[in-house]
Amino acid sequence: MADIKCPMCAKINPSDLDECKFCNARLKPLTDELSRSQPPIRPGDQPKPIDTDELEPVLPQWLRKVRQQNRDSADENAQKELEKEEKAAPKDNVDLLAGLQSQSDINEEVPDWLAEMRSGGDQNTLEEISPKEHDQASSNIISKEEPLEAGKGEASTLPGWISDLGTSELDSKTDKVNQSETFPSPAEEKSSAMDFELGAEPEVSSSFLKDATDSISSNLSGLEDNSLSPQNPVSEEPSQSIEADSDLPDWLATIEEKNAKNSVMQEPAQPELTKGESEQILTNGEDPNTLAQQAAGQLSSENKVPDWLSSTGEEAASAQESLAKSESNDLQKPASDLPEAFSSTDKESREPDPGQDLPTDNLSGGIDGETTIAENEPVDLQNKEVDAIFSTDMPDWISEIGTETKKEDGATPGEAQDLDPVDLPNWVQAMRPLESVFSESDSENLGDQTLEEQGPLAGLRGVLPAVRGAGPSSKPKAYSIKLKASEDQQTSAALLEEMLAKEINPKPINTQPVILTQRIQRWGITFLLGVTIFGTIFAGTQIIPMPTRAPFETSAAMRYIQEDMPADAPILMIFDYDAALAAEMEAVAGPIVDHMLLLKQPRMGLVSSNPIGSALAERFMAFPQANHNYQSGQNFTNLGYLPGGAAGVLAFSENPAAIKPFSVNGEPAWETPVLQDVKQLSDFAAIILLTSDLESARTWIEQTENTRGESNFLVISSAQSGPMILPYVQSGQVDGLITGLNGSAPIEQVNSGRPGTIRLYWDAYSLGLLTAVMLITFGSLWNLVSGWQMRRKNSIET
Amino acid sequence: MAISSELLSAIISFLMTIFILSYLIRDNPLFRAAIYVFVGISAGYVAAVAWRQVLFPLLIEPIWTGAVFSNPAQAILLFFPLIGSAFLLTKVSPRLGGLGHLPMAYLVGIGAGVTIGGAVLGTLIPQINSTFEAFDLELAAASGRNLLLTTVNSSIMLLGVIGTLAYFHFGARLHSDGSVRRNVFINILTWVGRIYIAITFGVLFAGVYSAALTALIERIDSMRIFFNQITLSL
Repeated sequence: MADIKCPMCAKINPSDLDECKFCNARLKPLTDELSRSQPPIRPGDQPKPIDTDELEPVLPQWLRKVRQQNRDSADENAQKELEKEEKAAPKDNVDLLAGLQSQSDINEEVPDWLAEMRSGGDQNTLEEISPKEHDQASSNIISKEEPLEAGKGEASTLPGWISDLGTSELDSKTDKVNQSETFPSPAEEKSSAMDFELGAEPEVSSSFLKDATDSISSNLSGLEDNSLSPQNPVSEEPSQSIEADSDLPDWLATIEEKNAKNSVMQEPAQPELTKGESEQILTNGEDPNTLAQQAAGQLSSENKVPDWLSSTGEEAASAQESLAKSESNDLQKPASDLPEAFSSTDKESREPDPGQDLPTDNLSGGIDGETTIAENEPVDLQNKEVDAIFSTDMPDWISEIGTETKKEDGATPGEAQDLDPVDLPNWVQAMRPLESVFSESDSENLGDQTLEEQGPLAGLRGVLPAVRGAGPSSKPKAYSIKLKASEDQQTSAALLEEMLAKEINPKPINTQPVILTQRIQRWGITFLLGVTIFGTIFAGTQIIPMPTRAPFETSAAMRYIQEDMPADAPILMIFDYDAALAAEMEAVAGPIVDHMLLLKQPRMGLVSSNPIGSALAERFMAFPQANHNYQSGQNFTNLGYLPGGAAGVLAFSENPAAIKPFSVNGEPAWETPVLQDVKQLSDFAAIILLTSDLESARTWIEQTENTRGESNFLVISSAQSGPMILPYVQSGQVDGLITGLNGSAPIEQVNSGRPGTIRLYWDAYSLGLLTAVMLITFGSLWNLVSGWQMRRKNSIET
Repeated sequence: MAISSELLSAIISFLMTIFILSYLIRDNPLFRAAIYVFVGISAGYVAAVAWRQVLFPLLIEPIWTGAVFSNPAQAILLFFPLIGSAFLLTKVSPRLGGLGHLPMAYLVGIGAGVTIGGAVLGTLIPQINSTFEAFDLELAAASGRNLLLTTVNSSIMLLGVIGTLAYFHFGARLHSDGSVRRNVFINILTWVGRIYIAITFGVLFAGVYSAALTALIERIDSMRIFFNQITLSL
């Protein structure tokens, strides 16, 4: 068989050992043998009644001794009689432990050994205990041969300070019972204490004794409940209280038995005593000299019990003694001169400091200067029985003491080897949740001897079963935390990041020195232009000469009108300009139309794709060309507004008579002498577009591209749209273009100065342009100089 | 003294001109009143024109007089604009506004198709042909133009066209240093196109200023005429 490597010291041990022979570390888990010998408990399985006699070898030594004693002292007949007595007992008797017996009868799962022990305990509890038995019980506490066996379990599950607390409270309450049968309420506590101090003889009543003992019982039950609560609450499983009861030390069990006896005889318990109450009662209830003598007498024979435990035993003994006195109503002595340390439940006496010997000051101080037990009897923790009490579930400091004791005694940890595979009782099986979840066979098949390396189970092997399917079946897929992105994506991301960075980072505003406020600038410009224009207009000056040379696009229009345009031919004039620019458009179109009307007398059809255009057309014919005496319906026909935008223009170019059948006067336009010979767009000799908008010009140019035919297409435009129409002239789509006053001025000169509007405007126009040029130039130079000065200043500063 | 319509119109014109020019001070009620008057009159006039020149003579009158029923084809043609107009009027109602989507879709679709077709056939292709023909020396010789000047002018025009188009080309490449830049040649063309665009904007600004200056001159001249009329009338 393969050897086992110790998880703690890493030395090789034989496989049959449970603990390392070098370091005593456990090589196998405690549940190893049990788990191998026992079939797993499945969820929903009913516990099986098992003969628990076979568990006796598993039991600790103290429990086996208790069991043996109970076997000797109890028999089945006594148990039956006890049951009869319980049934015959008054119902109002409140005995917390009494109900456990009936519950245990119902529960067939209680092992025999426990039933026997319970019967013995119950018998002792319910039977009246004689003072001799009390003495015997008290002697058990301090007996060296049978030390505290019954309290082993309780002590093993409770910290020492709690045990001491319970003992102290027990002691104090017992003393209180001895002193007075009237249990003082918190309000009456002070007065009752004063009565004791004044030597008043307290009234002895059975109710006080009952209350005190019931409170003690409740305290003990609370302690027991705490120890048992994880698995079986007492309220649901009273039988567990019996088990806890059986685990109590003898001295504590004796007290409890006494309490049980009192509880049987007396009324239900009052609320349990508080710490202060117990201290007060302890202070007032007993003569310290008596207590000290009793404690000294008892503890003198207990050489190897630690001080704190000695104090516990002393207190317990004193409690029992006081209890015996209370039975005989021996409460003749008032309390006086009780030392503080003894009267108070000092924390140090209840909670010894680990790592050092238990304090002996409590007793030494509490016996009023007399020679203390601690001084006369040094603490010896090598008592094997005491070690057995604290061998399991003890605080670390107690466990360490226990380990040292084992080593010194040379005792081998052979109890674990005595654990043979047995059938566990049901209540033990119910405490094995691990096997109910995981199949034991699975763990066995896996050969689970995994060494735990971390956590509280570090060093143990096979304590956690590894079951197939409990963990991931395959190795988890590895994912890279690095973002997988192509170069293009990274480039795009970098570009986006750069763009966002530019947007996020605020750009400093280049503040230029403010020369003048905007209002001053505005008024300054207005003043300059006003002086220039008002002066020239109101003065009527005509100083600045007009241009005589027309650009080629204007020359082409003039050439067509003068040479190529047939006389009395139908022409189409399109008025597509806004009213705001009517002045410019009338001034620009006036000379060429006047020249055309003088030379060719064309018949004119007027149309507009602008709703205002029809009115502007009427105005144009009425005022600038009024001298020609053109009459509507005879010399021209106003077709009015052409709706539909580009679609309307396209439709009109394809079939003008169908789209605009009537004039603005409601007459059939195409039946009038003006347009009677016109059937389609190409029948017009010329199409003259007067527009101030590039979009309008482009619409007419584009939509009539294929329907104009041989018609000449001339455009008279505002100065603001002329430059954008010029490419259509160069492409041949427009035959002539007259733009602004500058383009129309040569025509007016050619037209003998008629109508003279351009001449009237020319000086103001020229000076206005010059003023604008000067202002722009001056402003640009100012900004240039100021910028240069600013840069120079910045360079000097830097 | 009887006030003639011409004098009345001159007075109104003068006052409106003053109201508009009062904006030089700041935004004031007179300016806003003049603006409201212009907007209201324009809207009313447009509605009147649409009714008097379009809806009544072309849609309502034929149905009202029954003349349309003598020509079934014309009656069918009038049916669609009539239904379309009725659907457009339903847009004033949120519940029935969906009916107006159909005539709106028709108008938008027809308008877009006509505009795009006209732009391609009437502007884009002719302008491209014009750019090519600028280098036609035979045509230049036939028209009596100087071939050298024609070539120079054509080259300048071509450079301007290419530079302007290059300016609106936003393609770039990632370089080794991580920067994104355009090609050097494209950058040069872009710089040239920027100059052309700047000149074009300058010309447009000059044209706008010239048109506005002409309108201002006309208004001041109208004021002069008004004062002359007032003076003569007095």
